[in-house]
Amino acid sequence: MTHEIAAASRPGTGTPVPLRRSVSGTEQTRRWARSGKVALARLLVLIALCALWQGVLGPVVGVTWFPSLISIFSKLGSWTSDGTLRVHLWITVFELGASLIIGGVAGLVLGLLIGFYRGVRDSLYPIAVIAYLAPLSVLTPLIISALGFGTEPKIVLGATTAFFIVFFHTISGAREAQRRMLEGLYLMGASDFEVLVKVLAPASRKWAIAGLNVAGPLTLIAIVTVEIFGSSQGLGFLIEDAAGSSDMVSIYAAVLILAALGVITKQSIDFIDKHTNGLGGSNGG
Amino acid sequence: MAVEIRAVTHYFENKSQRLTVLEDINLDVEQGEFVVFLGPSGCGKTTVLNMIAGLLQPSEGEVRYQGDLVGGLNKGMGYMAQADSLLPWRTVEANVRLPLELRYHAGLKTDRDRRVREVIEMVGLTGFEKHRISQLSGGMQKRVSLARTLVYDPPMVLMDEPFGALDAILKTVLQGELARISRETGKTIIFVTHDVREALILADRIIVFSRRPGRIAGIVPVDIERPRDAVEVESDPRFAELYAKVWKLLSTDQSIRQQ
Repeated sequence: MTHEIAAASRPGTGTPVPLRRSVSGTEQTRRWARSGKVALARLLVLIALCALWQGVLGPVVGVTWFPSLISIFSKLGSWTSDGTLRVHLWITVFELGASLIIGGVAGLVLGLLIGFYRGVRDSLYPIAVIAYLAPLSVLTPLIISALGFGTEPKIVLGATTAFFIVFFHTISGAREAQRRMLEGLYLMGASDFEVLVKVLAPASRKWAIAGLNVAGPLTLIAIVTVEIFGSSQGLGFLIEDAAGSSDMVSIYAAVLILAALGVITKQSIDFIDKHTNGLGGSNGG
Repeated sequence: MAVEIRAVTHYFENKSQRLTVLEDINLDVEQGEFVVFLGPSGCGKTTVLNMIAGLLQPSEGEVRYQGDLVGGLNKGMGYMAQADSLLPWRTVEANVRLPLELRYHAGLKTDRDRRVREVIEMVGLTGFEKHRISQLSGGMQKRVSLARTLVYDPPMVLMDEPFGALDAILKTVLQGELARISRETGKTIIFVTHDVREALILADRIIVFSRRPGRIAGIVPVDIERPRDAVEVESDPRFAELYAKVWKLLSTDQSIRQQ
């Protein structure tokens, strides 16, 4: 957790005086105590949910729909040991990563350009809105029949999903960079490229990251959906395969893996966020 | 001559009407002079400033800077706009360094750093180099803007009501510092305000604008000795005389309008 350093003026004169506040020992202890309590509360919620599943939902609704947690985890174990997990997980991770990178970069670059060049915005924006609002997932069977059962149709749909979300977020960010900021920079002798890099890109960074955060899970869903429609590999295939034989244990195991994948995706995006924070010259040259 | 404004008239037009904001402005600003544009809000002071900066072209007449016609953006000077245009994601230091990054790609890093330190000291921000803009008060943000404008040492600085939004105490302090900096650096400064007191503290010459359409109602040379203390200057008898003179120009204009 970062601690803000308060800045103040000496009363009456307006002359700035730097103030440094250090985190006192007791405050630190209190913070640890608090995070300990939070961790404990989370653990309790988790245990309660497991108990609900195992003790109430299983016996009352039926173990067909709520199989024992032990069987789900042993399924995960056997998938791990026989290599099933490695093959299918890797395919989905690859598709997800490729989609987010392709869609994210394209969304960022086009979003910045559209945010910057009014002419480009006026001509492309309405088309982009229509394309975004059209339910692309309906085209899944078409895309599969055109591109086959490999990874390509998943990446096409995944990247499209990621693209639009990052794209619209970036445009909003570019709008944040106000006209006076840009005019000021031009007067200081900046070129278009410098304005793009030094003002527009940093101003849009937070928005683009927010877009990526929304895009992550949705892209994963899009990819798994396409995998369910037609593929011979990937987590979606695992689910489809298990559903075909009403194997609830495998379905839940796959869902757990997907959830974990979602968390890892979120962590990766947070990592990117943290490591691009300095771009735009906030601390470097 | 730093700036020559010749027969400048400006109007904004739409389908049905034409709104004249400036009418027949003629003005020379000398090298090293501190000129204040004074007038009521909406009288076109900022419009003239924008023309000198090249952000706007006059409908009629011409504006020259160092003898050259201002055709496009005038990058030879510094412009401190009314609203802050600091980059909130940069630190104080990085904001001040920005113009150097843009102008002198080949400059030595150590030279840049020294220059940045120098200017930060000049505006009294030493100790705040690593702070983010969002951590600073309004007055300190003005100091950062001023430092950023001065860092590349432009021969002329345009300032559009830079202290308009500040409280009276802070305003007085910053006026004193601006007067000092202008004396130390000898830059040509054109300063826009609607505060008569501020104009008298800072100006070599006050250009009084009339209400819209903006015309020059009168030019008042301020012959109060420098350095002027932002507080003590008010007890100078000459201050009171000039104050009355400027007010008369402003109010005459108003009574004309009312008739």
